[in-house]
Amino acid sequence: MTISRTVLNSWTILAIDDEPDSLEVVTRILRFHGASIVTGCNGQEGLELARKVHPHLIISDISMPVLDGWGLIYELKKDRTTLNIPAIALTAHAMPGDRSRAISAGFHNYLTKPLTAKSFMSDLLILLLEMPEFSALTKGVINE
Amino acid sequence: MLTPHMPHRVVAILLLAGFGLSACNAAPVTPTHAPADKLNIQLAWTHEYSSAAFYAAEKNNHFQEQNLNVNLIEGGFKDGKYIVPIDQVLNNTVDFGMGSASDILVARSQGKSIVALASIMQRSPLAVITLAKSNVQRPTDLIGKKVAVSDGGANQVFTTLLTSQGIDPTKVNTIPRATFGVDPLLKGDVDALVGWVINEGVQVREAGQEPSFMLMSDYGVDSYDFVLFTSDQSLKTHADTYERFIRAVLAGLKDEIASPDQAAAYIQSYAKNLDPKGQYSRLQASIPLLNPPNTKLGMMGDANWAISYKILTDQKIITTPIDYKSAYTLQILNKIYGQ
Amino acid sequence: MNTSSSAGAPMKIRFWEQLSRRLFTILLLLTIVPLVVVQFITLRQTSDQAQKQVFSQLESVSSLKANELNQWLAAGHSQIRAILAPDTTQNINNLISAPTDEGQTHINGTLANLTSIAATIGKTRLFRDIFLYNADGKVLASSNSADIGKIVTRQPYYTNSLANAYTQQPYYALGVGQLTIILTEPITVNGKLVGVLAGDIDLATLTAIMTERIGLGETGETYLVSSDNNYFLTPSRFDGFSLTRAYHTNGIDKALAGQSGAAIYADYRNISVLGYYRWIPELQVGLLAEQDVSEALAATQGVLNTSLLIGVVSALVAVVIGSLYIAQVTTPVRELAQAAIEITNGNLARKVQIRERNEIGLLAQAFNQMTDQLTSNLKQLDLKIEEVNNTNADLQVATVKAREAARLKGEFMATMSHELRTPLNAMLGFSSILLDSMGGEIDNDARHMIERIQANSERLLNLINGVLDIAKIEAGRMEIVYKPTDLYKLVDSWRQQMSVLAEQKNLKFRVEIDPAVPALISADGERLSQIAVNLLSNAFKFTEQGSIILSTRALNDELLIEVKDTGIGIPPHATSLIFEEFRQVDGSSRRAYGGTGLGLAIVRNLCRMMDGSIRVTSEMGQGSTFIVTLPLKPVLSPVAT
Repeated sequence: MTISRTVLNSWTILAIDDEPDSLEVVTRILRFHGASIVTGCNGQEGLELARKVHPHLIISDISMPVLDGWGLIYELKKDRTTLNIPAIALTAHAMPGDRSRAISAGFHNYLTKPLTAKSFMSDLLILLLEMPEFSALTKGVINE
Repeated sequence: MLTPHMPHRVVAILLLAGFGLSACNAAPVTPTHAPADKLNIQLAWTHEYSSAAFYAAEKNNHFQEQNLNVNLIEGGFKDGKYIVPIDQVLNNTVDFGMGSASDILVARSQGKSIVALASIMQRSPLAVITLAKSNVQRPTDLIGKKVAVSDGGANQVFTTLLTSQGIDPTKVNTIPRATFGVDPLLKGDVDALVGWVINEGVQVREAGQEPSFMLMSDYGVDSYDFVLFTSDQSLKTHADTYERFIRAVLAGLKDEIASPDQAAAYIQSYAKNLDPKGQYSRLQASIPLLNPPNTKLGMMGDANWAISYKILTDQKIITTPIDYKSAYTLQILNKIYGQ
Repeated sequence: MNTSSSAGAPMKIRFWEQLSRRLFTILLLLTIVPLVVVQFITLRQTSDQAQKQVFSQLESVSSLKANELNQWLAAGHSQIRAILAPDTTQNINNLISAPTDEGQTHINGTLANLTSIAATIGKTRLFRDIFLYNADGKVLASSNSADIGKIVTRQPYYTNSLANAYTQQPYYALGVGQLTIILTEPITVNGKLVGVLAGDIDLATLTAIMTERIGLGETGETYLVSSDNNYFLTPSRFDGFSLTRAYHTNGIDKALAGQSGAAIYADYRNISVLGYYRWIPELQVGLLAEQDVSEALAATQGVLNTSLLIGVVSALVAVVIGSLYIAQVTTPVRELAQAAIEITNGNLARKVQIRERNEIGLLAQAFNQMTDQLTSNLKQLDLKIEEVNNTNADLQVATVKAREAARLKGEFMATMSHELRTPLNAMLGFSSILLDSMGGEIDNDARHMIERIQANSERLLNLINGVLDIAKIEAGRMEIVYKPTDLYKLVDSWRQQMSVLAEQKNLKFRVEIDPAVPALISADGERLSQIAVNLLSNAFKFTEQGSIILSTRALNDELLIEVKDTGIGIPPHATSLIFEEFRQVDGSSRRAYGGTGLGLAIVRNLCRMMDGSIRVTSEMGQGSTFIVTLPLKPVLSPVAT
């Protein structure tokens, strides 16, 4: 299965990770599929960018300095301008309960590192499909 | 035939029935035994020491034990006339009378069929009573002396005494006794007085003088002066009842002898007006007569009856000979003493 | 050292349970009881003795008096008989047959003289009167002229007097009221009774005899009782008892019944007396000899008093002496008790003084030894306690350290898991971007090298995951999360996952599910997958040709997952070895077949954690079969997954 390169066209996605390599991996994959990426290297930056840019989606790591993922989602949900922006956690933590913790904190869902490009995209799309706002994405998902 | 006892029986039955009915109403029914037999006894004199046996029999419940209801009728005088026990018995007013053997013998000689059942006193209390300080100690001392004697039985016996001693009765100045008391003797109006040691003799002592006695029985003249008698007919029909009565009387007599002070107290309850000390003295004086040695209470011997009969016939009081032995019967005494 | 000084206040000694009091009481009893017993016996014996004596005394008094009476009567009779000397009899006979005044006077005089004769006993005269009467009962002569002329036929003695010598029992004469006894002797001339000589006995003698009270103490008396009417014939010693009334007592009634004997009974005063009763047939009277029990046994009272005194004195002496000796026992005992209390309260140095070489001394010595032993034991105990406390402290430290270590381990694992994954993310990420043509063109050479980078990155990731899993399992942090799981779907996913590899290696791969397996079971799908995938991976790894069959069965309450391959097999010695960490059949197989050596260890752990088991059967060159057995927990009500 191949995912269309335009599937994320006109999407602005905010990616936040304190590890530059990880950030670059995510950014490349998303850009490849048509999204505009804004990046931040910690929660604080991410928060400011979210307020400024109002992305369609936020993908954030959890363990970051200054303001970590938990703090970020807390602030995002506190702020009326940002609380409706869906956020997905992307983290190397693989402990049980992390997913439910993430969801109860306010993340829509949670993806694990390490990732591969294909697996990341398909998982992401599945999540996005669950969001009613993005039903337009039904087209162009499955290409033989 | 209406027997004299029937009314009494009827009364007794009615009384008991009435009592029984009232008892039924009040309390749980107690079983009633046969009603007590009622007997009337005519005493020879007013209530006094001489009837103490009867009082004791009553008070010590001997009559009750024998299932008898005994009416002790006081004797003496009624309307100036002496109540004659023999007559009372003969006219069926009473069951028993008390009297002397000579009276009974005389009555029998007159055809009155009365019979003696027991004698309360077994020796005669009759004596010639003088003052000890006088010289008149022996019958022969009476010659030329004034002697007060009651008519009737006393006189008969006194005469016999004189004659048996070979004394011409006319040689003794016999005058009838004017009173029942001993004043003539005490005052010296008479030298001697024929009376009872148990009565006049005691009276002399009570007056503070010492009497001297010439007892008739010391001169072979003894008699039964206190005899319980009934009619021949009554005895025939009521022998069992009369036996019970005699038993009770003898029991009372025994009590009298055993406890003279108790008997004296009983006398007092019947004879309230009599001096109790006097009655007690008389009772004490009677005891040797009631219970002399070698005899049983109430017993009668032929000798005394024979003596009484002889006196009466000698003095021509009884002119037609009778069988004196018919005047008394030992049938009840023998039954009581198991002979 | 923990001293329990308040374990219990010393027992309050009960006054009556005190040892000294007990000993005292025993002592008292032992002195008093025998004394009382002896006293009692002595009293009994003494009183029995006294009683016997008194009875004996009374009997002899009674006997004596009866004899006196009989002698007196006999004397009377013989006196009368003596009168009847031949010439006197003649005179009498003359008088009887032909009474003359002279004759009478003469005999009167004779008789009068005779009344002056004194009784042989006492100073009174024998007869009051003597009189003579003929066979007809007429008194012809008498010492009392007043009697002459009397006729005695009505007298009680008359009839009997005619038969033989007669003693008329006492009776009260009429009128006079005087007690009278008449003795008669018949006067026979030529064998024929002509008259009777009779004497009226002076009863002063009778009274004198009966009222003689020598040997009768203060309350003893003798008296006569009439058989006619139970009247007293002689006076009572005591006031207020009339002669003229009937008396009934045990003694009187027995005597009048003709018996003689001794008894204790209540007399006519209703006082208890010792009495000897006797029947005097000659007089037809009862003779009573009595003495008050209280007087008779007065002597015994003295004995009683004396022994009482002795008893009391002895008791006092025993008390005094005993008290001294008792103290000798109770004092050491108290001392011991006191010492014990002090020791209990902490003074272990307290010793008991050993004063005597006896049982108490032995006890004291043993007590002291015990205290010493106790002290040394306590010291040892203290040391031990210190040791234990030290050990405890160490243990506590160790526990804290262990807890800390576990905590750190946990933290480490979490951190490690995160740290190790992060660089791998970059490695795998970039290599996948490149390989997925998302990062520009790459030539084949570069592609091959990037593939090698990715493959090794994946291997490294597997290793890391395996190690982390083992670590998790061993730290107890691995959780089995039971959820309603569609096993059919799960099995299918495994098929999907391995089907590519099957294609690649050209192996037959079959997946079977027993229809008996329930649609939904309560299971941890992830872990099940981990197991299944691990086994399948191994199967595929070690099989070059043939088939691999995954079958899932339900049998009783168990779920069986079987992976059967036609691979190289496992040598017998290795079937248990392979489940150990980092173990493979041999070192060479690692190089040949890859793998971390952790897989089966993890699988076994997971099975264990799910209350299941795993076993393997294999034959070299033929293949291996791994069977996982797990408890089957069907879920009955459908729940959306």
